[in-house]
Amino acid sequence: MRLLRAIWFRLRSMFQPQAINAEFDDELNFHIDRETRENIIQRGMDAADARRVALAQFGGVERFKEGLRDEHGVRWLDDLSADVRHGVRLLRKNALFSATVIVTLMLGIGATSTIFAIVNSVLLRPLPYPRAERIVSITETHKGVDRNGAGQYAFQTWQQGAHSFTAIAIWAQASAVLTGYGEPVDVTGAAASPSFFSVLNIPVAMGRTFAPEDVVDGATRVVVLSHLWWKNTFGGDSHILNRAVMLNGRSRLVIGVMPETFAFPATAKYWIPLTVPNQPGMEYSFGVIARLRDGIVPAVARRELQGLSVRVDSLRAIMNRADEVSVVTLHERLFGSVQKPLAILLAAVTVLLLIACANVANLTLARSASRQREFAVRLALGAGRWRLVRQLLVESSILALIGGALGAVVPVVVVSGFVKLSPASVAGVSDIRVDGTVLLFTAVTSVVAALLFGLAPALAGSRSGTSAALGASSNRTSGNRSQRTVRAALVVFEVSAALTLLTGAALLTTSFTRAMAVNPGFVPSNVYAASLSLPAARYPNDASQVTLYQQVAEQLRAVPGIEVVSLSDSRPLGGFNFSKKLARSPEEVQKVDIAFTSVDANYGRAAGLHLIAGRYIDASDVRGAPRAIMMTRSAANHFFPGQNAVGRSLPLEIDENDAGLPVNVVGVVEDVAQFSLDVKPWPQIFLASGQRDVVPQHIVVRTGLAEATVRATLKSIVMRADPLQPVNRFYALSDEVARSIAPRRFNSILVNAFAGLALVLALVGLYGLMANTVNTRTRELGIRMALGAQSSNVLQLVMKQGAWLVLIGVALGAVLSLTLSRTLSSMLYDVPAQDPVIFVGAALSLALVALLACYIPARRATRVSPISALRQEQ
Amino acid sequence: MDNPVAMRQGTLDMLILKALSLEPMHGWLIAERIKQFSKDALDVPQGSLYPALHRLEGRGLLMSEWRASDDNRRAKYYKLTAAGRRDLATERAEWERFMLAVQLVMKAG
Repeated sequence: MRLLRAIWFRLRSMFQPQAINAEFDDELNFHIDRETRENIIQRGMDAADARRVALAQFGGVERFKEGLRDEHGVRWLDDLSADVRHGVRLLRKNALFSATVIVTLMLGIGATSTIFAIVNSVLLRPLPYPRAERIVSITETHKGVDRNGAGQYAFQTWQQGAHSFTAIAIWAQASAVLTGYGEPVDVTGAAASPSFFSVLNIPVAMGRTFAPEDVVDGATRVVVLSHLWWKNTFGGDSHILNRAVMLNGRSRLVIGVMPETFAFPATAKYWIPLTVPNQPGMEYSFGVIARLRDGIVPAVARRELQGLSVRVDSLRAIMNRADEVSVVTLHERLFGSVQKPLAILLAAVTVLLLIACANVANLTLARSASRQREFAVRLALGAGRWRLVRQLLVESSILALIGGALGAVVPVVVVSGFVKLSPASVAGVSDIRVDGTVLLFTAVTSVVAALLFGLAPALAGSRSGTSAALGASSNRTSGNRSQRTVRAALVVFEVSAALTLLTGAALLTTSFTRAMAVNPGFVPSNVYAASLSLPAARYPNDASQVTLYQQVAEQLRAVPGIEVVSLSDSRPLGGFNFSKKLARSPEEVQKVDIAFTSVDANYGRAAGLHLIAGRYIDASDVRGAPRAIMMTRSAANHFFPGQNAVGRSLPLEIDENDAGLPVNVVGVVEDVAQFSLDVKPWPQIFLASGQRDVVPQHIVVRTGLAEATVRATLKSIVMRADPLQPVNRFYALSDEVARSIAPRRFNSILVNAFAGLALVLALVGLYGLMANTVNTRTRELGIRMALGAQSSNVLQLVMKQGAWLVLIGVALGAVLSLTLSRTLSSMLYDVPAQDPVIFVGAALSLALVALLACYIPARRATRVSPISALRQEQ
Repeated sequence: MDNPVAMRQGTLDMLILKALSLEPMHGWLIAERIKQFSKDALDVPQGSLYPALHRLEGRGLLMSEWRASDDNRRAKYYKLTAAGRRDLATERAEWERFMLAVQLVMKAG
């Protein structure tokens, strides 16, 4: 009761200031009137006198009110607004100081908020499904290698035997050619079991999803559309249900449209029912997702599935067996790989923010030293120490809030640029938004920053002794000793943190440039690759597919400006068609994975493979001629270590084409990048498609024509050959090369930018401290010079102080980076995490520029004129 | 009256509580009552009276209401809360102990 009353009293004072003020007036007036009446009646004064005496006895009316306001606990509000006004006035007077601080904070807070916006969008925001944390992705693992999927036998066993899930679903990527809606287009979608929609548990926007009868043999073919596809291609037609669309030459009935939030897999434009293949012995890899029952954690589900592995193994061929099952949340499956790079970026940008705060703290300290007289006067006139601390904190907060407000704009402006810069592999990156969470983060960061850089100077500034500061003339006061120690410590921190960022940036950049410099094994410029996905409905057999490809290739060759056209079943940086474990000889036990690609006579020239020995597969390698292969350097090293492979033969048996005949190695080429520049290629063998029955998958073209021209030409040629057939994928191989190392580029650019900013801030901090030292020691230096010190002595004196700071900072930074660089090691390519050259190089170059930053003020110290320095005393 | 006894803040608070323990009253009357009780020896400084009243209200020892005074004007009346009554009892006990102790010292020897 009493507490409630006290709280009410304060709240009312705070929120109804006018009413309270009126009450003060009323109470005062009543008192004066009453006293006046008393004076007239009891003391016999006349009316005018009585009032005057009453007022006089009461004392100052304003003081009375002030006293009351004090008791109501609202005085601090008045003080605060006074502090703010005073602060704003001061900061405006010191526009240069304020601008420096605001810009520094804006950069620090803005960069941090931007990275946070990415982290928030990619890692923190949950998937848009109800209770999404219960959705898991299940994969099989063998000998520690995640197969990124599970076989259908495993899925069927789990579906029947596992109790950890409320629903479990199997799905696979699919693609289809849509015809009948403008030009034929190739679209990606997914095939999924009916339970797929109950796992993700988002209701259909229109119509229905799959029912069990949709997956039985002979059922009507159906399709569910994504919101985006329905809007863009079908014009948001509200009567789309039960319409037929032509996918891959077959008619499918539209039974449903999903809402906008439903986007799994991310690129799917449609979903069709998945019929689980049922050929004994043949097993394919599928995606499996499931929704955990309440109370079941992924580890428990994993143990249960692991317990079912005997049943799975009894169904499947030995080569398909897996020894482990992995159950992770769908979120982790989708974003797990970017977690670490983003965490590192966030850490790097936080260090940058800390440096920015240290720098601002340093500036504020320097300024508070020159304001000591003001504080001393205020202390002497009776201001409380807390009052001064508050004044300084208010000033810091004003700066931090302005810096923060400007910083909040930074992510809004740069996020779109980030999306462009970032690799497609940062899943969900196109969805980066600046939302309430990001703004809240920015606000909290600003407040924390204000405390970080404001508190130390505030405490130091208010501590100074009154008499000492009053006695000293302000321009020589350099702050007390502890304040100088704080400033030196801040600079040391800045130097060491900057070195840590620099080292990290150097490691990442070296990785990037080394990955860039990897010989891809082909000449990517002027090479384009395209593929056609030929629907089985219209191209039922291999022969019809081969015919179309050859027809297209033939017509392309006739186009002026097209140099070479080749057909193959895989392309550089496009994986390979199949792989097989092979031993060097029948006796050898150890087998090695070998990648296989079938290429025609033009492939070597089209892709620009680097021939090491022998010749490319060419027009002479036809049926009836000796069976020819090319192999990559690492394949040659495997089969014929230390020998010339050309001219040797291998008892290679891949399929019925080979019939046990040996093949001859006609050429050895450099290893060709298969996945990415920074992934070591598998040993690879190129087979001559002129000697076997193979269906091409890619058209590889070398030409000096512009990309757009090549694309348009190809499209029109395919269109002429088959008006219902789109060109599936068209790539410039030079773009593919860049894309394969885009994540490295992204990380390297960002960390370099942070390190660059950090370096500049640290140098500014160091320079500021040294310049300040020289200023405050002017008189001492003047005396030294008057007593005969040479300018070299003075230079040495000042430089020694700076050198110490740099030395300690660099030493600390080196220790720090040595400890932290290990966390980077998984992101490095061809660089050890503790590469001595990089470490020494970064430390030396930082030390060098840091000493330069000290040298400039030190140099100025040598120009001190003894006369003017001594004269400063007056 | 020419030499009013100086008053400490705690003492003033206690006197206010004591005055109000008789009946609710407004500020002017409180000062008047204290003066009367002390036979004009204690003159409440008016600059401290009102802050003290507001302070005690803020601590929940008093509550206030606006009502008509004896001369029919709107005045702010203060009255003791239960907490105020308890506080008065404690302060009175402490005061008496203090007085006794001081007397013992002053009369000693």
